[in-house]
Amino acid sequence: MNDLPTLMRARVESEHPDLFALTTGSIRRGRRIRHVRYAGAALASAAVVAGVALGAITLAGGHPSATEVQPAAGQSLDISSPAPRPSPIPLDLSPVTGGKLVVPPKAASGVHSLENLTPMAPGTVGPRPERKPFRVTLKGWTCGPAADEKFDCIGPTDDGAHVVWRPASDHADWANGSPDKQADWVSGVHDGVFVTIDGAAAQELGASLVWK
Amino acid sequence: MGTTPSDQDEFARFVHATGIQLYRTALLLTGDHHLAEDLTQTTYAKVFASWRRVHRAQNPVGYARTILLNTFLSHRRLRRSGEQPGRAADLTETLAGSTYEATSDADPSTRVDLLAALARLSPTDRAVLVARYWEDRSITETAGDLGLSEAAVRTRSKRALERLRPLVLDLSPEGIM
Repeated sequence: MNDLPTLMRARVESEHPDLFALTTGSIRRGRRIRHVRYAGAALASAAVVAGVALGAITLAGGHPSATEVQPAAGQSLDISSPAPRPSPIPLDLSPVTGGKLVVPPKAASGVHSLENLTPMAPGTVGPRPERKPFRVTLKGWTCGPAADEKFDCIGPTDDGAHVVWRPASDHADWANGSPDKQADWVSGVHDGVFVTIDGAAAQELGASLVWK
Repeated sequence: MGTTPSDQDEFARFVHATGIQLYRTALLLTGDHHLAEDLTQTTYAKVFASWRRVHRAQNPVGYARTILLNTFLSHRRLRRSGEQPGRAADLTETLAGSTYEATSDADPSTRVDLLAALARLSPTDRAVLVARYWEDRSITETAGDLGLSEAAVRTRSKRALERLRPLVLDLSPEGIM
């Protein structure tokens, strides 16, 4: 009779990996991970800048009545001519030097924010971002954007978790652990949805959820 | 932030110092040489991607071990969600089908019984046993490594040993002496 550690040692003591191949392969794959990580960070930065710019443009053009017409550099404004009619297309994307960005009164009061932007109109280029009904607030974890009511999070040691929100009608199946509906953590129902999390820190992530 | 040749030398020394132990851990978890190599390399790739941070850490070996366990469990979970094709599929099929082939010089009866028996456990139970009895981690440390409660580690460990005992001919009733 042997104990488990002895049996495990006996089983694997003759196993030796190719350490040279392991090192070179790891470095190659590690570089790839790093490039993807940096590219993702750059893309995220660009997306934030684009989002802020889009938000500013939308706010400026969304309320024609609040639009101030300012002469572009090198031009004069003829006040004797009839007042210009608001353009049916509120956005003027032509470059204007010395122009002034006018924020509608509502925005000036601080009500507007990127969170409250209305969805983009049909036909707008790019996917519409999906709003999460909750936030993950576990320290050290970063979560990506949501798509199809799910998203992934990455922890401080590069371990991942998969987060999905689902209709309340499915809650009983997930809470009771049906064979094909199991998760490491299942929330209660909030406003018609509930959350499942699979990952090494599922319990901690679940406990950190803040519903909006 | 890139790595210098010096960083790569240090990383290579780290792999040579820890690679055998980590590979053997991966083999006990996966029960398959190719999957164990893949799991070990994936782990070291993640370590290399954050090498400067890992190198400064107090316990780089522990960091690598935690990544290995979490990568192993993440593959299983992503596969279950149907969102990770490729190697993870092989891993799950191997775990489910016990497609292990004996290739080393150790006692064949012991070898087949142990890895085949481990493969019949759930991946989380297997990770608990490997952490507790191979890595010699305490219940508290295992709970921290796997993101489980201490009670869950105790329960899973006891249950896994009970399931393992009739499958492994040489296993003592206590599992550990």
